This record gives sequence, C-alpha cells and structure tokens, in this order.
Amino acid sequence: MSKAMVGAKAVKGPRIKPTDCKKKGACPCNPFLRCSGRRPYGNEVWGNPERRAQAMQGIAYGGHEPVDKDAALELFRKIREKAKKEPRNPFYRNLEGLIDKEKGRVLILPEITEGEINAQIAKLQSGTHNAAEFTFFQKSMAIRANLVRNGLVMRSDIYVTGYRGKKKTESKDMIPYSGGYTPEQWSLDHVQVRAKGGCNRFCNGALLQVQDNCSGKNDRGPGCPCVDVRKKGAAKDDGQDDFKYKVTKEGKKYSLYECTTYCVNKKNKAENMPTDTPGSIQQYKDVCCADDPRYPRKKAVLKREVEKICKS
Amino acid sequence: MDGFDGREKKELAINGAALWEGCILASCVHGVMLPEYPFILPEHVWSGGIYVTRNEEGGKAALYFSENREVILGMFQDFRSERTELVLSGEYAMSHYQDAPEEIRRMAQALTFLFEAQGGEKRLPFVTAGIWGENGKIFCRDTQEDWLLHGGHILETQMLPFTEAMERYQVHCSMDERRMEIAERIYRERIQSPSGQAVLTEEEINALAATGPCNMEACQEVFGKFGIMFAEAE
Repeated sequence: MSKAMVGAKAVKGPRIKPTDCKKKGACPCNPFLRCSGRRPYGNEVWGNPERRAQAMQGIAYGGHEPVDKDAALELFRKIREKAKKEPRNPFYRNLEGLIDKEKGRVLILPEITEGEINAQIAKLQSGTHNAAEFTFFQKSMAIRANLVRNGLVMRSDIYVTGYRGKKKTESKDMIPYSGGYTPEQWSLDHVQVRAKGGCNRFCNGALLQVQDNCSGKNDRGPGCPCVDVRKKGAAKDDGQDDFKYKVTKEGKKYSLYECTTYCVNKKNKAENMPTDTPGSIQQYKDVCCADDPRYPRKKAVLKREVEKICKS
Repeated sequence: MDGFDGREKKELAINGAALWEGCILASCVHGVMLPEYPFILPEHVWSGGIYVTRNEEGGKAALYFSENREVILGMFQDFRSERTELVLSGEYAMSHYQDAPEEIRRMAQALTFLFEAQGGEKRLPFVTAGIWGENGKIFCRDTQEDWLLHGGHILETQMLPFTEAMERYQVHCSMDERRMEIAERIYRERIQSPSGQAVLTEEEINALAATGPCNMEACQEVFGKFGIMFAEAE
C-alpha cells in the first residue's frame, strides 16, 4: 500500500488552456476542436503500466490540519451557551455535533482491479452526457492519477489562461476530503462548464481546490456563448436546431458528442451562426467516445483522424 | 438587494416527511458507497435532527427536522446563484428568515456558522436562500422557482420519488446491484419510524467491507449518525 507523504515534489502534469469565445459576429469556434486537445484525465498515469499499477493499489491519504482548534472551541462555547438558554430545544445540542473538532483522518482508496475498471468504463458509455456530474468512479480515477503523478501529494492542475476571471499559473496543494470542510479541498472541475453543456467525460475534468471551482457563476468560464437554440417558428438564421437528446426522468440528456455548444447564455450571443455547421460535431463521435484514460488514442492518430474528418 | 426585501413569505409545495425520507435515502446510498469511495465522507452528515449535504460545486444545504419529520428550518448556499455577488453579510443571510417566528430566527442565526465564506479578511455568513416550517407547512421568502434557483436545487435528488432517485444514484454513485439492494433494504427499514433504528446484517456488512475494508470504521460512524447500526458479529 502506498502512503501519501507531506512535502513530496510534484511532477509536471497537464496544463489546461480553456478558451472562452466572446466574439461578436461570426463565431470562429469548431466545437469539437475546442476540447479535442485535452487528453482523458490521468492519461499520463493510467496509460503507463508501472504508474497504473501504483494507482490501482490501495492508497492511504490524510489531510493537513484544517481545523482551527481555538476557533472551534470558541464556537462550541457559544453554542453550548445557547443550548443552556433553551434546554428544551434539541437543535443546539444537535448543532454541537457539527463543529469540526478533529483533525483530518486518514482514509484509504481501496485496491482496484482491471476488471472493476473495465466494468465501470463500460457503464460510463451510457452514463456520460452533457451537463452531467462526474461519477464517484471518475472522481476516484482522477484523484488516484493526481496522487501518483504528484508523488502522492494532491495538487491542483494548472490553468494557463485567465480562467473564470482569475489568473492561475501555479499548482496548489489540495486537501483530501477526510472529514469536515475547508476551501482547500479538492474538487473535480468541468473544464468546459456544465452550464454551457460541458460533459462528464474524463477529457473534460481537472482537479482544482473547491474554492476555485465554486468561484464562478453559471454562465462564466469556457464555453461558447455564441449560438442559441432556435425557437419554434423562428427564422432559420435565428438560432440553430436543438441537438438530439433522449428524454429521461432526469430531464433531457444530450448525446455526448454534441456537448460543447449547447448554450444558456442569452446575453452575449453573436449576430451570426458559427462557421462550422451546427451539429457537425456529430462527425467526431467515434473520436470523442474514446475516453478511457488507460487507452486514449495516440496524439498522432488522433490528429490524423481529426484532419480526415475536417477535410471531409 | 435584488428586490428581495420587498417580498412576502410564500408557502412552498414541499412535503416535509417525503423530504426527510429522501434525505435518509441519500444517506443510505452514501453509507454503502463510502467504503469504496472514502472521499465522499462529508457529502451527507447528520447530527440528531440536522442534516447537511454538500454538492461538488461547493453548494451546501442544511435542514433541521422535528421529531415527527417536519422541516423546521432550511439554509442554502449556492455558489452558482446570481445572489453570490450580493449576499456576503450576516444581515442578508438573516433576511431570508425575516417573516419567520423569533425562535426559528434564533436557530437560523446559530446555524450560519456552517455557511461562512471568506469575505475579505473576515469569514461571513454566505446564505443564498432559506426556508422554515410553521404548523406543518414550509415557507420561504422566494417563490418555489426562485428557491430552487438559489439553492433548493441542491436537494433535487432528495426530492425525487424513490425509483427516480435510485436511478440517478445508480449512475452518479457508480453503484452495483448488491449495494443498491442493501441501500434500499436499510432505507425501507429506517423510514418505518422517525425515531427508530435499522440494522445492517453481518452479511451486508461483509459485502460493504469487500469494497473497502479499511474504511469500515468511518462507514459505521456515518450510519450510526442517522440510526443505522451494525449487527454485532456472532
């Protein structure tokens, strides 16, 4: 079993360069090409047999000491006073139980087998769609890769450009979810934001501190604000056809490969449609669905496939 | 403040008992998946009648249920809300409960410590919506639609009927058949009576331990917080 170590040096991980199209006029975006440059998260670990073996082991990890003990005691004292004033109301006694008094505990990501990964990857074929949350399995794969890549220390990924209005060029230490809550805890971010149709595929994930992940509103962040779905009866140029979707009990589920341009931002749309025909992203379905971080397409192969589709 | 202070209290179409059951179901699913995915530990927390849930975008909801499963108080923090630019103050946090009885407002004031966020050098209450219960009805200063928009959606799955909620958990929580069965069985046993208990059998405990043997202590602790006990080994 591996153990997380304090002070281990981080190694070079992927640098994420999300683009946020804010152009007025003709939209220059090819929705597929805007995300195809990213590899499935953790590919540099899961695609390497030795590092994969390490990531599949049980990994013990513990937090720093996120709790300010003095502050917790002060809070405890205040709530205890309130409980004394209202002895018949159990609310205040219950509230005492929610004060973080303990230090982060050590938890263990259990060993995982290739068979278990295969089974979960197969399930993801129907569980991935646009605007969906990452599943527990995907989070587990991402943090295992992050821990192994960074010498068993959790570090946030590097956003190169001003993401959500903030310039992030440095990787930060992250605290595992090991009890309680701090803003420095890790969070699996959708690079292409969910509100703009970002999907829950491995290639759309990046690890950030939760305080950075939750700093943006619905319509911020990378995504194409240029196109809008045409309303019934509207002129042909006034928006694009709605993408194909399945209606489920959870609402509309858009096909995965149509994930990048469905947009909720009504204020900043361009006057014209994108140069790429709406819906043409469907051509990339096969490429987009190769989303196993263990076996992604090689860059050269991917490039050839994309070029071929672009020419056609 | 977004025209908020001019609003009157409205009754929300929420069934408190059904919401409590939804929270219990979410917690049962959380408990059975915890051994394999220990990082989900703080996503659902109980302390007596207080239930706290967090989502992956940093959103948070806290509900306080009475002994007969009525919602007494609910507080919400949603970083996706448009109110994020307005609400970092104790005064605004409490404005959600302006029309609530005095006792509820005192409890809301005490609960805000769970909802603090960094505001400059200080940590301040950051609350984007609030609800409270009176005589078995649930009230809010927002319409149902606005309440959902500014934090209520954090409880979206907890408010779904059982089958739909389980379908969602199956995908999102990467659940297998066995753990779905265990979650459903203990959920049904637990909701029989609000103050009752349910017991995980030795066979069920072993099934959970097979997915993450080293995290069973945390698992037992989490289940114990909402009245689900581990059977003692024979």
